[in-house]
Amino acid sequence: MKTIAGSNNRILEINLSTQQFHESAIDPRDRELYLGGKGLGLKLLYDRMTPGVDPLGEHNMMALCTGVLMATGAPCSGRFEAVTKSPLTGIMATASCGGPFGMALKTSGWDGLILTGKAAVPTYLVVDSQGVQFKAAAGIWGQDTEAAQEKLLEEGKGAIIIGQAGENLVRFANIRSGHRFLGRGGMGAVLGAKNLKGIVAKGGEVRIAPVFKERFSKINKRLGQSINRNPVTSGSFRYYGTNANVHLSNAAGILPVRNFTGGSHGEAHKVSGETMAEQFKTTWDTCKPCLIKCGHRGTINGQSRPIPEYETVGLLGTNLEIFDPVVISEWNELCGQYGMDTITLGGTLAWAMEATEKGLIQTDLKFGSPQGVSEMIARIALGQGLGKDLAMGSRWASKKYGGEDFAMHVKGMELPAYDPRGAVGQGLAYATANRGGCHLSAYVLALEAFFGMADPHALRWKPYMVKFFEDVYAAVNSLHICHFTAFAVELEPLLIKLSPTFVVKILNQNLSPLALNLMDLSFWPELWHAILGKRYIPYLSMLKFRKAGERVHVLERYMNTREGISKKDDTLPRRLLTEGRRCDSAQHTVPLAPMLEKYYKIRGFDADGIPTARTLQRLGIAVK
Amino acid sequence: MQIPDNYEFLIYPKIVSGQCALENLPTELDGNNAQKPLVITSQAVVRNGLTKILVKAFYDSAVVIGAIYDPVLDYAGISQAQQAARLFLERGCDAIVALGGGPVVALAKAVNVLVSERQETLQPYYNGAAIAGPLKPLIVVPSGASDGQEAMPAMTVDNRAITSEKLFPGVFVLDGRVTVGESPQAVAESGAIALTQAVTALTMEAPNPMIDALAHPSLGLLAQHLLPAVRRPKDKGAGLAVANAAVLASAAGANSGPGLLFVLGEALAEATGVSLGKCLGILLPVALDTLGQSNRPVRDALCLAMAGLEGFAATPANERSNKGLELAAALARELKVALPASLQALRVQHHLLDPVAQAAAAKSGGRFQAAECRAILGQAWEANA
Repeated sequence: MKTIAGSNNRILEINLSTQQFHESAIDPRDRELYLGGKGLGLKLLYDRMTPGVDPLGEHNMMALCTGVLMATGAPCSGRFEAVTKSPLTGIMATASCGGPFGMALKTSGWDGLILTGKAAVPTYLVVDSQGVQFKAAAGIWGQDTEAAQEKLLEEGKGAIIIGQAGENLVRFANIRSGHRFLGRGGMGAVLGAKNLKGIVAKGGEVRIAPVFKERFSKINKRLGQSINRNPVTSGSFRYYGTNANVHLSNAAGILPVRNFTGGSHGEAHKVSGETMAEQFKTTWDTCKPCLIKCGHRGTINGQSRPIPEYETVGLLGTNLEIFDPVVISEWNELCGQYGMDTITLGGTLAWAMEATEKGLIQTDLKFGSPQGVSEMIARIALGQGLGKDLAMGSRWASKKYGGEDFAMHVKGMELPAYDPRGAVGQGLAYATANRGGCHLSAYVLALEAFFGMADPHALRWKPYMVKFFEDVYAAVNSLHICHFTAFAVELEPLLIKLSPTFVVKILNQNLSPLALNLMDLSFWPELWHAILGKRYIPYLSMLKFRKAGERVHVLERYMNTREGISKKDDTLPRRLLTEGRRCDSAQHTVPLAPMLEKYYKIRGFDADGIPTARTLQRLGIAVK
Repeated sequence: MQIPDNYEFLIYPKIVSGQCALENLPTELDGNNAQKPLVITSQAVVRNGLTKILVKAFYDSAVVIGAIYDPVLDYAGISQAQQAARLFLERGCDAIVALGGGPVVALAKAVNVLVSERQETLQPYYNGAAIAGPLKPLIVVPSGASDGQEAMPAMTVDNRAITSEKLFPGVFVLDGRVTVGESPQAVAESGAIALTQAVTALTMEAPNPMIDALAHPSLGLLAQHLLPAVRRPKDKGAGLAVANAAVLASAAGANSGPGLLFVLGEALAEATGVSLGKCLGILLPVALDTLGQSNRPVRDALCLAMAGLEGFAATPANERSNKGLELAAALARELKVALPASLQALRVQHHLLDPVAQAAAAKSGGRFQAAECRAILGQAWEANA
């Protein structure tokens, strides 16, 4: 087997309309500036796609990119990124997945692929080191993700696949790979619109080896030790999954209840990770390679099923006032088979329940009752009746039927399961996240609500914290490595580990730039440098890594502004700006305006939220 | 002037206008047998300190404010209407004062229906039930931001329109301290809406002298005061004149019905999330130019309103149609100092133009064709300043 030192640097460009493909090389400068994964995917589309294309039209493109860390054996690095224009939001969408397709694509000799055009008939692709074969998908079109994926895996080691939701252009249809998903933004509908059921990569054709093997091995070992020391990555997430957050969110008053009208609930413990682990005798079912092992399976009603993630429990559970883990896991399974994002689905169902309550639509849906939910999920996936309207997401449905003030989305993407009225920095992060309502753009709430390292209601320095984490996570998604390694990378270095929490809190609140700049993030850039054989300069290389993240974030923002995004879109659902909650005696809302103004200034955006020419020039982004 | 064989006209609101008109508010309430109003307003109005001016107006009166409901943003929905209705009942209020424009007034009308008709939701009215009435007294104190619907017998709540003569507000109190604009952009947006309504009323094919009687002074005020108000939003005189023009144009619009431009603007605003005022500010000059280039003459009344008596008299009769359109288009184009020049500059995505044109045609109930809507949108997309 051929061994490649560093990275393949090959991109496969596929035109589905003409059934032709060609290879292109990754520009070394783009590799330096955008790292890989998300950053590279965005840059590839920035160079190729014109603004204003219809997300479901043939001119929309999708980039599937791996990072430098993929297939090297770095911990938690089995992730790849998809980038496209979202049919849910109408702006750029990026999504990360830990399924086996990334590894198979990389070991087929490709760093990424770009899809454009539209196949004349349902098609699937088989990718190997020589290129791609276009095959008729008539036999699997209409099948759910599980059955169709099984068929595709006869021809390779990793696949991506859409279900009926993608075929029916549900705007929040996702893409499955193994048991993991490219979840958000309607990636599945983009493939469905292209008549593409899936892609299978042969894999196992090349081996990737770091250039500086010894150095890589040392860093790898140290990072593994950190992951195994950290109480989140080696404790709560490893044993209870992301669902361990239910107790934390409930205690902090940020667990969404009844369409974000409440922030905690006495029955929340019934759907916590701890309860599910005990009730369903869970075992690990993770991305590969992974040390954290947050993905779990369990025996539910005699069947082996994936345990729902925290976001699914929050949005399909507590936010609908459902506290039955069996019911939630059934809906989770159903969504997995149809290929639908559980966050947007949950947010849309909660909107539908409240709209029913307020007389705007007529359905059987009711908070606290599972009646009719399974049927509605099916109707949404298959585009039947009212399901066809709900399949467009809560923004679209609320424009048609009313109830915009309780449609809980940002830029058309439904909010994750953290209520920012209990962590206002997260509110700013939601408002400014490039793809819409997203907690992964900057996970500030962990400091605010979980670790006690920042005052959840203080405004000072929150814009700086949001910018810092946006830049860091954009870089992490470009390496590409799991976000959860951040707990080990950021919190395990001695300086922060030995500092009492109240000291960190005071520093964060009063000298946030200093505190954040002292944060040692060196594991990530050190891995990247060792694999590619580049010289690592302590601290300076880390700053360069953060600047690459900033570049990726600003490029994405700039691409979105070309699609019409500006300050008017950087906002939150009206409920979060104007309504207090029963669980909060101080009746906090999110004071967004002052934070947003400061955020624009430190980001180098103008007053309307558009990156200035100077900012773009500083980051080396060519204006188009 | 010709009187048509048949026409209909309905006007209701009493207008009280002046630099200190707000001081008349307690008297107006008293005249409507109301002693404890619920004030509905927006966060922007509170931020600008206008609620303080309103509260001071009650200092020397026996009328007391029952409560102030102020979390309204840019949307009127049943959720907030229910909250405000609960507040109204809990505090034993007997009238409603809407302090602000657009969604504030729509919400006030919705609350009025809920409390007067003892309803929990507006569902019966969405399904076609008539508002029985009578409703509680509703007094509107408009701010500098208007959506053109304030003086109409209609409300748009949760993006759905309910029309009923019962929804006419009883009194409009226009006070120069309240009608000052928040920014040049806000004044330009309100002005673009009023201009669209007034021009539509004066160019409608079936003339109606009563509608003309409202649209004419409205256009006259806009021609004279709109640009000064845009340049100096804090100018109380200009702001009050524009607010008067907006109320008159809205009342005229209530009788003339929405024209092509208004329907198109609403469809565009709905699809893009951009405000109606911005959309109309871009569409209006394009539509007027198109109308001028067509061979379809418009009535001389537009020229008279825009050019004034002397300008009208100095224009040969066969040129008045074009002159009126040119002057209106020029005024609309002047708003570009505060508004984007084209849909492209507004970053509206080109692929949305076709669906917007179709939505507008559908919304008009077949009165307008998708093709003519699309043509205007196409020109507006690449219009130059």
